[in-house]
Amino acid sequence: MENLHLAATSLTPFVSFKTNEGILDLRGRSSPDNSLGFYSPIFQFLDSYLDKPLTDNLKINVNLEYFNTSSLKCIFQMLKKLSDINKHGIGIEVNWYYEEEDEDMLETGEDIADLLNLEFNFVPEDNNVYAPVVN
Amino acid sequence: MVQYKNVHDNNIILMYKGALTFDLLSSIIGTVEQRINELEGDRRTRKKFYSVLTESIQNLHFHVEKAEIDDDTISFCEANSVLILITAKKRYYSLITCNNIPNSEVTSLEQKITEINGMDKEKLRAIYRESLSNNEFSSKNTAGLGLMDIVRKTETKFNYSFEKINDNYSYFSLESRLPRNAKQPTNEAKTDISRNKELRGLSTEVI
Repeated sequence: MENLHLAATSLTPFVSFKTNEGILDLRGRSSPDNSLGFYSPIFQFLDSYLDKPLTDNLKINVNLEYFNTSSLKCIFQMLKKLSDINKHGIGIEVNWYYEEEDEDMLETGEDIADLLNLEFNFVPEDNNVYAPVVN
Repeated sequence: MVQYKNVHDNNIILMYKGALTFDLLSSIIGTVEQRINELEGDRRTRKKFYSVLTESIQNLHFHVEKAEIDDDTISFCEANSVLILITAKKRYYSLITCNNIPNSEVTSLEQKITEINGMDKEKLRAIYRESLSNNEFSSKNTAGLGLMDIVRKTETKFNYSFEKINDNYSYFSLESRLPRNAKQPTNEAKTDISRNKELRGLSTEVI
């Protein structure tokens, strides 16, 4: 199965899923007007991967500077989808990055982790050294 | 006459009246973000501002409805128009959006705003979590979280007003205030009527 690779734009994040390593990366900003339209193909891709996963573990890195509320809902659904696989014996690791002083981003991550009954690693980042978006 | 002094004194960051397309919306958000980066030293407030700005203006774009033209009350130009006014006051940033809304939707929207305004921080977080975890999107693909998100970010209640234009439409104004020092949120919501007068006063002064 091929990897998923979407370049970042000013309104949508960099999204990468390396199927043979089981690593999903989201970076940048997510505020498209039609979030469902942007995330639906990603959902479909993940669905077909989860039918026949290639690894015993999934690693998910959410490193977003900003997302609008409709993107948040999509990100929640995506993590929910991935966390369901957890019930079938596949390990899941979620790294939730946030800027050190961004309590809103931290709180959102805590709420998602709690709602999905998952343990997130919360990774604070220095304000001035923001992870560059690599396409 | 527009006088530079008025514009400068009122610290207007953006004033727009007209039709709102998605391209224009993105351009407005980009321009205002640049201006805030120059104006605001506190990174946390800048991020909150960007978030409230995006949510407010996208919300406006999703829900704006072209009103039917009426010879006496709604001109061709007004039918399609929204108004956005963003100002930097000493203690807070003010984001005002105005649009036409069918009278049939006034009651439910007013009820929604009153409910959100009436919730404390914990209650708001609980309801927000509940809405986040249900799988529903509206017919316009929105998450139904926008208004709650704005109040959670600003920690300040909305000011709002509905003014009846004719038998079919009302003019809806919504103001969000983001405290400039986020550690000391202000909660000084004025009554809708006095606020609305102030809005009109400001417009007359500048235009």
